[in-house]
Amino acid sequence: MTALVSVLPLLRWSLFWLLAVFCGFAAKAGASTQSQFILGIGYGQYSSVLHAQPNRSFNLLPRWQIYYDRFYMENLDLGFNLLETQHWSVDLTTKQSFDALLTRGGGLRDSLLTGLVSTSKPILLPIGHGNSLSDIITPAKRHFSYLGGATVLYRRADWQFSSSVHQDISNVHQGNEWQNSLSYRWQQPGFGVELTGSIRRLDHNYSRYYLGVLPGDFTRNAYQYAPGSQWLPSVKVALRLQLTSQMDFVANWRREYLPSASLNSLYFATLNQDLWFSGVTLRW
Amino acid sequence: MVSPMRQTRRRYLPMTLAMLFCPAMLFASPQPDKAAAAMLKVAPALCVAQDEGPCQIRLQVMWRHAAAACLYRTDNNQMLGCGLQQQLDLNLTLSANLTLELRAAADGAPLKQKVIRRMQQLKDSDALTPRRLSWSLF
Repeated sequence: MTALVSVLPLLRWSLFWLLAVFCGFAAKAGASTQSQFILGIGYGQYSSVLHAQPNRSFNLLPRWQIYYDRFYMENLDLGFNLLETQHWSVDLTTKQSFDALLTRGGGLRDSLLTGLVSTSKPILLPIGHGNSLSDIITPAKRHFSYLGGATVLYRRADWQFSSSVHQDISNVHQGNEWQNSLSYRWQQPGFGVELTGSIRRLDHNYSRYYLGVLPGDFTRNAYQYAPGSQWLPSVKVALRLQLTSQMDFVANWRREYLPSASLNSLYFATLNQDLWFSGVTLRW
Repeated sequence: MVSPMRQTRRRYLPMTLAMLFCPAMLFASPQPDKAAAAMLKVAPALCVAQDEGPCQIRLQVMWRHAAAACLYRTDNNQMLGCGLQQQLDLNLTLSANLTLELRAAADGAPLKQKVIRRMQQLKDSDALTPRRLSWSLF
């Protein structure tokens, strides 16, 4: 029975894509394929929101886009189109959640310990003789999750609105996410700007897993925290300057605002999470 | 009742008029036609845009004229070059059909015009609109 439960998410995920693949091949023949591989070379940073953790930098950013008939792949996200008109698209979609990066760092134990020391919240901890504070802190690593659901897009001139609902299909937290984004795209030959405002709602399970304190994070369940469902707004700016037919200068910056409730989890030191990258992209 | 004399006069009237005016037409000295003397070549004549946005094109322009002439784009009256004889490579951006006009440098009189037509590539009806921009990295 336990084995069945453990393979259930995989089974669900496989069935979802088997169905999608079947639908795709059932679609009319003569499909066109558009694919593009992009490698960003430059400097980028994922800012840490944790106590006692440095920002993480990166120099390479591989991206890819593949569109085949009604299927598409945008990096780790997959889609199957159900309806496509000039302005509307309705897709079955899956996406990689990167929220596990919020709690990734050199030492989650250090973050929790620092948070515990600096909080004004009264927390009773069962420290006995011969025990140190760090002995009772046993933070569990948050895993990446993969989500499946549907996305509706509306495009008009330079604007695009998207709304998507995704449920965890990787059996990591069993939560769901509802994301809404509005983008304005100003594109000239050789130059482009995209401004995006987004807001996403994480349900109770989702936010508890990534923004809360789980029962196993302290020995004997000394402290737990579940922030409940939360709204996370974000803004993003993307710039592009064409250098050659296959090379662009690109700058992207995104800031997501964590809910103030997440400070109660003791892990988090700040509520602004920044992600940025600037450099050149090569396209094939 | 028309008299035979009047009938004869009517019959010969066109011929008489022709005889009067033809020599004048044959021997009239032609007006100097500035436009005919000017030569303007532009290639390519089409700019194909990928989407509804502006279209960028690299043009090879050549002109020759007896007197100095200047090339203008008529949408914003921008002067692109001047001279008796020119050969230019121009990078232009079109948001609609664009007329290039060669004008006499002395008095601005139009000599020749060429129209660069802006066309938009039709989207393959089967292809999906990309969900995100390739340079919107995350």
